[in-house]
Amino acid sequence: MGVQLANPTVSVNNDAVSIMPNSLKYTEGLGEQTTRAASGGGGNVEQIYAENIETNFGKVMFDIPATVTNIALAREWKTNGNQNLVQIAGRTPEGTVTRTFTQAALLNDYEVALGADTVISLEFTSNPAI
Amino acid sequence: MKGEVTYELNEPFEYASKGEQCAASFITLTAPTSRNMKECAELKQAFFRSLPKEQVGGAEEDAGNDDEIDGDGIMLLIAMSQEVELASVLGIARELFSSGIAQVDGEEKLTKPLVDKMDQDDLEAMTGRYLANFILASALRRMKQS
Repeated sequence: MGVQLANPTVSVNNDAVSIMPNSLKYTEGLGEQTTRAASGGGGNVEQIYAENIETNFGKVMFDIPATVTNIALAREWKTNGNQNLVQIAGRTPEGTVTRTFTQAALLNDYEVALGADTVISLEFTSNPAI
Repeated sequence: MKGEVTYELNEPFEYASKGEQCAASFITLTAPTSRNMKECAELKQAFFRSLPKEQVGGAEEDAGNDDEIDGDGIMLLIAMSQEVELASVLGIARELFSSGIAQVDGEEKLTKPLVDKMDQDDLEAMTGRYLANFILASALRRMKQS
């Protein structure tokens, strides 16, 4: 019986970040691949496989509570451009998963919603995960 | 007392700098300010409590006889003491170093996650170096002069 990885630690630029539970998602940055058919005539079809390296970007997404500290941090990360580094690590009795995202940038203009139960949703785009 | 000292790491660790992952080779330590008085006072007290009781009165003469007590000597005294817990001293040092007085490779703040990545021997030696150069510098100098 496996154990679901559910309580990862996140650090951005060497600082640990407290995120909303169950909000962390990432993509490996392995990109999208396509296949096409090339006709060889006489009913023969050859598969053409292609890597679309335009899509080889890693993404890390998580929510943070809208505290004064976090609002300042998010602004700092945004103004850093792509000079951020995000690391995530999760551990279960089965082992550990760690991913490092270099040259991470907050590309979208994230929303800061101020309220009792609001969060700031962040999406970093980076080099493929290491 | 110099304004800053450099501690060369024996075991490099990885840290983030300008969006890239780098291997740290040294830590720049700057002198404490009043903002660090709690940790500095605790570390200073830990050192003096670690001195053997029968030598506390004569510690000044002993210290005066020795040329220098360096960071390694200070940490050895603390480690051998029955009055002071080395673990609590290192815990205080962790708080102190992550308060902004230490920069990795002279540029990135040494944060708690980075302190946790440091080799144990490096943390211990760096604590000794900091004690000798900043926290105990004036006390050790007075001991030598008397």
